[in-house]
Amino acid sequence: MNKLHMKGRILQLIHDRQHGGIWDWQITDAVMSEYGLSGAYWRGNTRVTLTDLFSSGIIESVEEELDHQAYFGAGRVLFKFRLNDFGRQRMRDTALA
Amino acid sequence: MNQPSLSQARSRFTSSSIRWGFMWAMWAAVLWGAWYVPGSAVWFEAPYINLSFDTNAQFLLAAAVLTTFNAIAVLFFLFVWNGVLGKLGEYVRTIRQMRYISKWFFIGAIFGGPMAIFGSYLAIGYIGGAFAAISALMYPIIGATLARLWYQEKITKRAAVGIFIILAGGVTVYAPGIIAEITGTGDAGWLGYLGGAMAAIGWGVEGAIAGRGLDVADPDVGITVRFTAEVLYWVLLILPAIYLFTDQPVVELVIATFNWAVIGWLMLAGVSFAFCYVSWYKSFPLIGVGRGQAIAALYGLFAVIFLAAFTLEFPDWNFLAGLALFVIGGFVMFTESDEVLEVVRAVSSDTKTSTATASAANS
Repeated sequence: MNKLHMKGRILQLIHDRQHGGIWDWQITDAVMSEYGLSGAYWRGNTRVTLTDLFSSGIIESVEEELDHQAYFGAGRVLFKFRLNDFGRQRMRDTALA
Repeated sequence: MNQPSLSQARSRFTSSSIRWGFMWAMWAAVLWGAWYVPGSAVWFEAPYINLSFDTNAQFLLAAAVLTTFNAIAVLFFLFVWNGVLGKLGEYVRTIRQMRYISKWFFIGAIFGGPMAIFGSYLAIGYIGGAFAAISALMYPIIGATLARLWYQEKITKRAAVGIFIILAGGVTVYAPGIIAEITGTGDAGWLGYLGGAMAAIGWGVEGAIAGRGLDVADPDVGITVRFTAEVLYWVLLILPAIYLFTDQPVVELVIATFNWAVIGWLMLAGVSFAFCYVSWYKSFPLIGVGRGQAIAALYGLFAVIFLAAFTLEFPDWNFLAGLALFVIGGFVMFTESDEVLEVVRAVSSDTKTSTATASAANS
């Protein structure tokens, strides 16, 4: 099957859990297993992509907590994200939703 | 272990993502400035030094061939970069999405390549490296304005003041030369002035379009798609068109370009520009197109320093005065509070609704 590019797939994963939001580590786990990736490098890479989406105002944070398990690193913040109107519009523009 | 509180960690996250955004833009500035050294030096090698340039057509041809080789060298280093990052698969997945994603990078490449980079080579060849570097410095005004109108990027009063100072710098750089051209005392460098203006407009528009494409694509991959497009334009469209429709010696010049000195300079141009562009694209999502461009415009300062160090020649006073205004304007835009910058666009949250998103969606 033709896979979607990763940033698009990440947006879809967030879109699928629009009501309650989805934690960044859940997104990262899902993306890495779908694309057959593992390790800290790809975890970090996915987090950078999520930061891009957050700074650009495409996704927003609904809940935050400290990264006690050191999934991304001790002392970091875990985010529960969801799309906002602008993000949903971008997904429609890009035929992702 | 002493764990920070959530609010401490949260504010550290915000300041770190903003810092990364500014750092990427700063890297873009340094490497961009460095690019003008090989970009200028290549004009002093055979076959380019031996061209008589009796006609403007000859100049245009030389700039076209140089820009073609420049684009190929940049693309080569971008492929190496993506290979190292393990993102070649992502490149294939992204470029296939022509209708929804790649088209933005293909459109951006028209403005960045045949307009901005070609214009820069023209300005370098006709007037000089320092002029080419400084004349393009107005581009953040165009990028920031388009990003504001197109997808609601925040332009605060402070950013607007910065833009105004940069504009004053533009007048300082351009006015004396253009007045001399108009009153007939200039040395017919109008093609160089046109090239400088093409660079400013081209890079401004390219950045705004890139900001749109990067909403849904990875920056490392996006920039590679953009240079793939530029290489295709030059190799498959523009150079063949010059060959078919003019009697310019395009094939001869391409063949003559294959010598160690020229290829060496072009490889240096390629490596500096490839990573300049990577950094430029990486900064956009984090701090916005307008600010990313304003900081990257500090390349003017680095270009003048690098060029002066290599050539021991200083640019005219009005170029330096313009440069100072560009740098001050850039700093005014740069010193924005973290609060404004956490999210770079004025989009409505789901918790509070506004009409901004409705118009943002019209793109």
